[in-house]
Amino acid sequence: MVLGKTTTIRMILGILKKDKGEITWNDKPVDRKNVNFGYLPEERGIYPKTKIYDQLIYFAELKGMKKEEADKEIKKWAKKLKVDEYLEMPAEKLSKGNQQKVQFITAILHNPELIVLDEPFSGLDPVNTEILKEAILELVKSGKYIIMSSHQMSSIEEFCTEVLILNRGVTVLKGNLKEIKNSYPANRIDLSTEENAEKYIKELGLEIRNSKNNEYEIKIKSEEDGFKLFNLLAENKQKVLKFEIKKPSLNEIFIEKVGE
Amino acid sequence: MHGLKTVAGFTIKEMIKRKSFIISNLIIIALIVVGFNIPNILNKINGEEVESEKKLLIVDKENIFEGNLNSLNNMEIGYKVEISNEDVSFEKIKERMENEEIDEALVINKMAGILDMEYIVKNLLYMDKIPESLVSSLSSIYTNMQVSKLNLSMEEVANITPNFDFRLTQTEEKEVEGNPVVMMLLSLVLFFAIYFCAYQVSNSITTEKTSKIIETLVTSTKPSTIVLGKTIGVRNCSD
Repeated sequence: MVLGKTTTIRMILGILKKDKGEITWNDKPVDRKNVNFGYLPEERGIYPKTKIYDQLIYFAELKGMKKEEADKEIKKWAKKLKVDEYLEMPAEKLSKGNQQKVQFITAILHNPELIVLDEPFSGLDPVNTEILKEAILELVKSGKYIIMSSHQMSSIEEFCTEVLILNRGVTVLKGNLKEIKNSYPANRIDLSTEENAEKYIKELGLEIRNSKNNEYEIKIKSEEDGFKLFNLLAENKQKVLKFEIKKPSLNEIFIEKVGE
Repeated sequence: MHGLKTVAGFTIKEMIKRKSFIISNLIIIALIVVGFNIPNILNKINGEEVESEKKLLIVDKENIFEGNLNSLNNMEIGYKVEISNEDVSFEKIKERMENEEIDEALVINKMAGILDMEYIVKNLLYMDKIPESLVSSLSSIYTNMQVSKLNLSMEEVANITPNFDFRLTQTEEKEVEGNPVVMMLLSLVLFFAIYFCAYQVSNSITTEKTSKIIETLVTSTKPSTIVLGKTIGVRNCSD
């Protein structure tokens, strides 16, 4: 789906020339002179026949690090991301997930203040996704500013405080994530009961989106519908295992906005 | 400067690992060695520096040269000379050539005051003229022989003996030294070396662009540093 995320990132970092406008960071143009940034591109780009360690040293030295300092950082991050055993291997022998982790190291090795990650979890299995998430969270806690692009809304909800949703280069939504979600009314209930509760749901005229083994996802118009259902179940002495009134997920908000 | 050094250093390390680079450099070295040895090769083809001398039989049955022909072996004419003062027939000469006892033969006769020199070879296809060195040596021996009979003084002999000093000069201002064929070939080798250097740099950049490594590189350093660093690295490898 063409939204303009990668193009925007490339313009921020000066890879692509913008037609007009300005891009600044702390009132300074975003370039190598003014901002110490790290970049993880969307597509994997490492030298296939060069040893991992050699190319990490190369990229570190290009960013102004000394070899000894780079060596220390490489070993630290390689251990953290569980790629230390691959340091002496050529990149082509690594799996895509490990290559992505190696490329992540090149982006953060030189301790940048601004880190730009373009689709960092793309193509990763759940184990590597979790490892990378922990690393990103550690960076966030240490005060790094991270710009992350993704169309996996669950990842964004996990890490981000501010969001910007693009559609074909146009901003359709931006702002604080919590405030955005709070601006939407609750629109569903996650219900789990011991016995079949379908008749009570239908009695109130509510729509069941999904159901399986007495677990229901129910569409509601307001929180009041939820309270009515809960009261009805209680009156009929139905044992409720789970009852959760939920606001729309970022994924639902995204679909709604991009679909407009 | 630091970026330039880093890119050049990495390029050198990557280049020397590649098989194509090693092979192409070996070919260029071989061409340079051959190029510098072309004068020697050409000389050998022309027969000026022949390792083994040809065997020449001179038949002087009338002893016209009065035994002075042996001095030919002291002159650098490129022949090992055998003198015969007996009458040796054409068939005998032919037989000796076929047996590889001799390579060529010269039969000297005097007819009506003129020295008749018949130079016999296996096949005229391989020789279209009598060697200049032999002709001039025989002329010299004969002249000296006749002059000595005249009882001339050393000074008179020196005056009648031609003593030419030939010098080669040119009208154009620039002095061109060296063999032109060698120069041309070395120019060709230099052209290919420069072409190869440019090809390697552009190939490297194209590969990085295709594999998206270039995005990481241009966010780390200036594009001009990348190109210049690679050019320096490839050039140093070529050295």
